[in-house]
Amino acid sequence: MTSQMIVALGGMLLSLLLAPLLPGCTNRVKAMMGGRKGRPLLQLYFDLCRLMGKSPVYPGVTTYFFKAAPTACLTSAVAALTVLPFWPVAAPANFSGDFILLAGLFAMSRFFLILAALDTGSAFEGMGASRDALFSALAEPIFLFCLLLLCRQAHSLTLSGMTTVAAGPAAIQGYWMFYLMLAFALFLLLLQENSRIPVDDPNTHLELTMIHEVMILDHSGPDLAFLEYAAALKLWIFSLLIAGLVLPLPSVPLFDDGGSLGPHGLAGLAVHWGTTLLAIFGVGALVGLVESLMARLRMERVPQVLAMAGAFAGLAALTLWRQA
Amino acid sequence: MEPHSLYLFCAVLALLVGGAFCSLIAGRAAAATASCACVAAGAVGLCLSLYLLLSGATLRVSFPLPLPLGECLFCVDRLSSVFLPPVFLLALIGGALLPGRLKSLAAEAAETGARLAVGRHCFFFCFLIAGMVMTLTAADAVLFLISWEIMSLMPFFLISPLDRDANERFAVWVYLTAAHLGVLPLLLLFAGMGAEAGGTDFALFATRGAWSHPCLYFMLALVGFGLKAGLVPLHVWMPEAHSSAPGHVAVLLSGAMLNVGLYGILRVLLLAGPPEAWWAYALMGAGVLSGVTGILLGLVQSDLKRTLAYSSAENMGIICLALGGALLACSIGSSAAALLLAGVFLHIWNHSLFKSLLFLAANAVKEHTHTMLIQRLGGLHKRIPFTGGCFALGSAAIAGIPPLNGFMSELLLYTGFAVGSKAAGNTETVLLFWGAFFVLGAIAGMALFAFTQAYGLAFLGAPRSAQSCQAREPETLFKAAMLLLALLCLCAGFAGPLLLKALSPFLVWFASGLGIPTAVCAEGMEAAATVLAWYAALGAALLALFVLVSLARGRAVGKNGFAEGVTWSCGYCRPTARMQYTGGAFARTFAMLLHPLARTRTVTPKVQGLFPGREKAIMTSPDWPTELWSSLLFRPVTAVAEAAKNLQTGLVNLYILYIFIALVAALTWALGWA
Repeated sequence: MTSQMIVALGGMLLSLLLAPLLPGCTNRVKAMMGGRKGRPLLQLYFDLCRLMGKSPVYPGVTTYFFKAAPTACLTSAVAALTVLPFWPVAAPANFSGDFILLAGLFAMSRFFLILAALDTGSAFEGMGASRDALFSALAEPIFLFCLLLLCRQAHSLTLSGMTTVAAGPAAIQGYWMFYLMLAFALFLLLLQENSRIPVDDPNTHLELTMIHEVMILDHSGPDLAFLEYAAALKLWIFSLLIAGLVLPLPSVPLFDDGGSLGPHGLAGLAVHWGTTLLAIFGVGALVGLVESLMARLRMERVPQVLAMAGAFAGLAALTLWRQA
Repeated sequence: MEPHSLYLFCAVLALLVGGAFCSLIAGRAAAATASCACVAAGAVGLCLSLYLLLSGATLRVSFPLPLPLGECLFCVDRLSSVFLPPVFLLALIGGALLPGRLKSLAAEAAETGARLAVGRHCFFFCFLIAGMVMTLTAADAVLFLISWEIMSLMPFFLISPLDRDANERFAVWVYLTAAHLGVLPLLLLFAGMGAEAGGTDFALFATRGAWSHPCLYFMLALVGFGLKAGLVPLHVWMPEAHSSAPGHVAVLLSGAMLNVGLYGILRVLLLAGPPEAWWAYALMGAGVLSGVTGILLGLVQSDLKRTLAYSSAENMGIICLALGGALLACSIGSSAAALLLAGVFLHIWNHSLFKSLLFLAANAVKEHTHTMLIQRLGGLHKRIPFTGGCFALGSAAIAGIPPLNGFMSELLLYTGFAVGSKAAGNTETVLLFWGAFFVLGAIAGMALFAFTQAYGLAFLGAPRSAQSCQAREPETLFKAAMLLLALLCLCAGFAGPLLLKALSPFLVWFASGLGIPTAVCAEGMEAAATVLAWYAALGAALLALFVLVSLARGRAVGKNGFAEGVTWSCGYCRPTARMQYTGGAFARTFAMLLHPLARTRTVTPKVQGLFPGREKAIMTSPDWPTELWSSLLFRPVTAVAEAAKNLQTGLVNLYILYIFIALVAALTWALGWA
């Protein structure tokens, strides 16, 4: 195993470990904005531990899908980490077209989650499933399109190629407008895909107004822990993607010709990872800021948010044109 | 030329035709006879076509039959041998299921007093398969048209064996009308080509370099064959026919006959010489219209089998879109063409597999519940877990869920569009590739919506009616057929590199037929092989991870124990099945958002008075292309025909008047202009 691979796997492990911290960061920002003290930063870790030790309750009508959904969601989120590079090294699995597989993996978790919601036979969960299916169906082509634009800009069909090129200052020069608009479009998609305000309110107590939370109403115990962890990972994945786009750091050569860590390798790696983590938590803080400053939109206006994401992706495409 | 394959091909045709005639006179053994013939022909044909595909050999057989025009010449070339395996596989499955299906149809006939002509049904069934095989192998324009007619006519007799109700009768008539109208452009096409080439042999067409009207031929082929492939707005017959047909017929119609339409388009593309630029645009346009409208109409249907039929239109649209993209990539000399072509042919195979699986499972449900309406189904998975599991797998495959086969071919198509857009130089081409990529993403998103809805509402939750509770698993043979298709769907996802390897000689040959240089093609094939290898490897890893995570979950649950309760409904502790979400509600927001394409209609009653009586609100999703055709074409024709009836009233005086007018006209002409 080359040291590049070890570094890539290390990044993956870091993601798996630190993902539950991200919702905590968002919550802390929200609490500070609201003048509250807020729950502990590590609250999600505590919750996950507690949930893993509880015994679940299964509704009588449910079948295999209700039980498979948490597993499938977690599996797809972990699998998504293998194609997503943890800057500055390439992802463990990178090939031309891997960004499409990322969308496919999201589709997989959505497929199972919707079926699990419909499995309970509850009107509320059916409603949530319908909304989630609709909004994600609208978001999917926009998400793919954003990545396709990056593809053309970076002259690479792999996620690793797209984000590492974006990270270099030479590539960003003259294209900062493109990256900014694309990052904004992706941020809107992050809010939708992770069910945050203004699309969905994760803290609401009214089932009628929920999307994601209402779909997992009946899950409990380890199942709920898996779902919560998968949701945190998904938020992490989106934040990582955006961070990989907007980080204007020079790429220091970490590896020497032999493929092992160079003289400044370890220090460089620490700087890179530190900056990336900072950027990821920055995105998380931004989510918290948006949640503090905005109210949830009416359901019928959510497609407009997605249309705005699409419009920004289109504008980014236009800037690409001017320069090309 | 190899004599063994030649004999085998003749044997396949002889088995099918002989089986057809034998089943007519076999009396009680009709079903068994036809079944044996179809299974044998399917098995032999499957092996033969796979052998021919892998070896790349071309088979030419000429029968000394006196045809009025042309000659009886069959040729199994590479293109035929790509389309033949699904036909033979489904012939095998359909043939094996035939006796069981006919038995259950006979039982239903005995119950309702309807008549079922078993012998004739078997006869037409064998000839449907024979017609498809002949169409795919005919190497002469006249023979092709004869085979096409045989193939097109047979479903007319097969769709409604029991003639149950007005809906089925309507389906049959719509099918017959569409099939007849569809032949017209093909007659014109081959008449034109034949007149120009001075013969009807396809080899003669292929060697002719420059046609005088290639664009006209292409358009005629797109309309004529597009109708058979079910492209929107020519799909009007498909939801009716596919939803009425019994299981063993629906499998062949959806999994094999639609492909024959695509075969026609591809064959004409090869024969009509170098493609012109706008053909790509036409194909892409047809693909976008068909894909988006098809899946959108599919997701607002309340009938499960109609949803499946509309999704066929969607998949044919995807294939057309990719084919157009391949032509476009071809024109800019990009290796994306090879990627897209690989995706097209893999998707054709994949679609045959998962669509026939879904139709089989749906028919298994319909047999005991006697309904396909989503608002009457529900809770089926608990009662029939095997059929439910098969339908779930098919839904996942068609919705593009990794690691199954549907996403495998779509991954190639996405990658092809991305490579094309990266390679393209001028603005229009980049925009076209981007547009195609975007539309493919949108279609995939909607397909996920449609199939989670179809499976989730019909199979999960609590049963919505007593009918739904009557669902039972089908017989063992039926289960085996579903299992076979399900396994093929699962394995094909992992066998991508193998399938590509099997297809690659054909793809190189086909690409060179479209004018793609071998080096460019090889580059594209290499890219496709890399993508598929990664997909297979990551798919296996995904599966392993899934098993690992389930084990972890199982351990945690096993340690803590679990309890069973009622579904949480906002604290309401007596939820009933009627409180569940239904199809209309699930898709309503989507239908409203894309109203111009979905055209859902709601009729709400006016509630009047202090004590209003019972009222009904009705939500329907009519097929708007059908209404369009009827207002544009059928109603005017009917009006003219009605008006023309006045000419022939049977009054003698009127006829004398006609004769008088004719005489005067003749006289005037003779005096004035002669």
